[in-house]
Amino acid sequence: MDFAFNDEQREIQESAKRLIAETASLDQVVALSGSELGYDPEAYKHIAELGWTGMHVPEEFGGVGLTYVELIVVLEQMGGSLYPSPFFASVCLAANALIEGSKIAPLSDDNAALLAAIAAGEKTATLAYTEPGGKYIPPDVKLAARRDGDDYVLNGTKNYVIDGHTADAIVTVARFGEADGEIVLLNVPGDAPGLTRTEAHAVDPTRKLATLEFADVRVPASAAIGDPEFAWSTLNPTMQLGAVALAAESLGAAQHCFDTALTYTKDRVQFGRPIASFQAVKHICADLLMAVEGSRSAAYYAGWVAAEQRDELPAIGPLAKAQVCEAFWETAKANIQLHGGIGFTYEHEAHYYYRRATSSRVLLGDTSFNREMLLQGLGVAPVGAPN
Amino acid sequence: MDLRDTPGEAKLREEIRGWLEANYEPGISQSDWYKVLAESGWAAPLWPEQYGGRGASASEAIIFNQERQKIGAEPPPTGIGVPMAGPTIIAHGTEEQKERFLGPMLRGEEVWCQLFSEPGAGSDLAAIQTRAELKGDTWHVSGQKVWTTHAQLARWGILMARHDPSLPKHAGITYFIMDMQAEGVEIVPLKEMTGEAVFNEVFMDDVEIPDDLRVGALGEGWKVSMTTLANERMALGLGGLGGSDEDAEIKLEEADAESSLETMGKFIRRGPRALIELAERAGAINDPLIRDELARVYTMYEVNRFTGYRITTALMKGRGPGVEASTGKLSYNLLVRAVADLMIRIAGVGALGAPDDDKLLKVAERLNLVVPATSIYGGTDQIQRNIISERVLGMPKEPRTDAEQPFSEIKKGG
Repeated sequence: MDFAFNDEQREIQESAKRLIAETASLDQVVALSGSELGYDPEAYKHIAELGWTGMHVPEEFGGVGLTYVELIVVLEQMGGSLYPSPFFASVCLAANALIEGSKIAPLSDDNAALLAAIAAGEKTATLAYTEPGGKYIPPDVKLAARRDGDDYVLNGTKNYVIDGHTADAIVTVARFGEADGEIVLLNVPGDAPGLTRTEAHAVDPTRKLATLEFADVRVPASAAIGDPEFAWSTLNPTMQLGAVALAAESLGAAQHCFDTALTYTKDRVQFGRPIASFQAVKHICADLLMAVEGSRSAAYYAGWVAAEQRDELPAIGPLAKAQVCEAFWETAKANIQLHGGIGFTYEHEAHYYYRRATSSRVLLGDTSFNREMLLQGLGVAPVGAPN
Repeated sequence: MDLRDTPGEAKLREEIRGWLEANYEPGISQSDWYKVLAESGWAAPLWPEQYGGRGASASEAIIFNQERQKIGAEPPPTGIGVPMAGPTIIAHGTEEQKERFLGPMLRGEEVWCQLFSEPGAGSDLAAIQTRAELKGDTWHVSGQKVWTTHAQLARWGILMARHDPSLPKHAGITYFIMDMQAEGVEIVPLKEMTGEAVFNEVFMDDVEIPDDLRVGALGEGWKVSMTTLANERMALGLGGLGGSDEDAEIKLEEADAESSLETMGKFIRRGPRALIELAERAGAINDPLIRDELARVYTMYEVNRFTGYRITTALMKGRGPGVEASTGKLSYNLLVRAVADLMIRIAGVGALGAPDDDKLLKVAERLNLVVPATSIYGGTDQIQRNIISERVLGMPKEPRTDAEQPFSEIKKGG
């Protein structure tokens, strides 16, 4: 048994840590968050050259051919600095949809080209799932994909699409029939005629969200990813892998909040002694350590499960997401609390992490939703529920 | 990162499996099995060979334990002896003490108990008031101990006593091995809130202990006891991690409703699926609040399992476990309480007075009465948090008023 990173993974970890420390100080992150893009395209090119964007993409699709473990190593470091990048939406959502789709049905030329371009960092993409209802459940997918000859014609709205206003391609979840499962995943170019994209107001400025209006947007049938009659077989693993990625990213962010808070309690003196010497403060920190270390265990195990494509993924993906995002949320809150007054000023960094924790906790489904997914992943469906 | 055996581990596993096949017969008596384990060094594989161990690597010990569980063979003697008293005697005892005590301990011939806590010294263990006075070559011990597991079965006890109350509290303590059959030892069962008596009170009235049963130097009792307690925390924490692999999972029916704390512990460790089963049977599986809590508790189990892999990896690489091991007991306690609470929520009024033949409900009823103890014994949850924050996170201790002055002059409980 070796439940630890190997030498190569540790090297990736070190180089990611260095690069991110040099290029993504909080000032840089905040400055970028004010731009429409929200990230530095040159920096994205650079991490693509390092192989990050194609890390877990199979070589046959132009990727580096490493595993999900290497991917989560990088994600953890990104999370620590709130690294501004289309990486999550593009590599951890859209690319996964294409990779998982390729296991169900061969990718069309356009779709394969998109995956190769994502892996090379030449294009960015995202996944458009949620609609005004905001839920990640089949009945809430209402965006219509009507067949018209060899094309699909799309009409409807997608909300809360990560980097949706800037992505080169939108992997869109659309409905072609009445039944819950009658869903298709379509590769829609970002500049498709009839598609209107607007940056939405987002509580977390370091993670951009967009609203997409589809008015007679036309894509060829070959834009379909996976099974055009039953896209759940692609969408489910995509969501599970996305959950693992978000867990890994949130782990890094939670660790950062914890480290910052702990250091502050040792420096801050009140009543003639460091506040770290008060049991009321110590016990909070002990609980946070337990939450963060438990999250590390969950995120790493989930990374291994994803890398090995084990049968446990439907349970472990949501499990890791729920565990780590809850821990991040608790840690981000405690970070503010332990800083006292300075902690809730705009000037202090703590609120950026609090905002990220708020968004990560609900994106890809909130904690209750992921716990329900965990039970269903274990095969514990509600009695009498349809499959 | 790979949870499967390395080629070296696979080879080791084969050898160990072979040894178990050759040496374990189903139905072997406990005492015979203990003898086999002791003679082969598998009773305490990590101990040095000269003291009856194998000087084995952690990998060997872990793989042995896994393979032993698979064939349903009993573990080596547990309790206070091998896990706690043994390592303390090896670290701090004399050669004569090692010679005399380790063998019978490994063979399970002599049971041990721990004489640490007192009515006035619980979390503040260094506040013990049991007196040890040296007259000639013999110590005379008087006082009262409490929470002593297996005192009535024990042949020997590890004892902390105060040899000099004029010294500051930590400096005046010395560590002994006490003969539980000696004159002046009185053992009184202590009935807990469950109605059973796992623990005892031990009264000592001028009990004589020869000086050669002192462990460590005069006044080093606190330091010696740290070895014992570190081993205890490790055992309690790892207990929450062990046995949760899929092979070892048991069905709820296998948990004995009349069982002791220990069996309850086994049930808790092995029973994430049992909770789901209970909910299905009780018709609570469609309740969204129950489902949410089931998933949360399942996650706690799994997180403990994954953390166990990290600890095992560290041990197998010959490193001491790191930060991840320090929270073991605390996270186990939180899990146990969550399990008990959820069982009651699922069972509802059915858990208030379960009929004897309904094992499921019986377990729920009993577990609920058992769990308040778990966050207290072996160091309360609050003390665990102090330990984690001070020793792992490097947070400063609370200022103390009792550490420097003579023990005789400070305010005491009890």
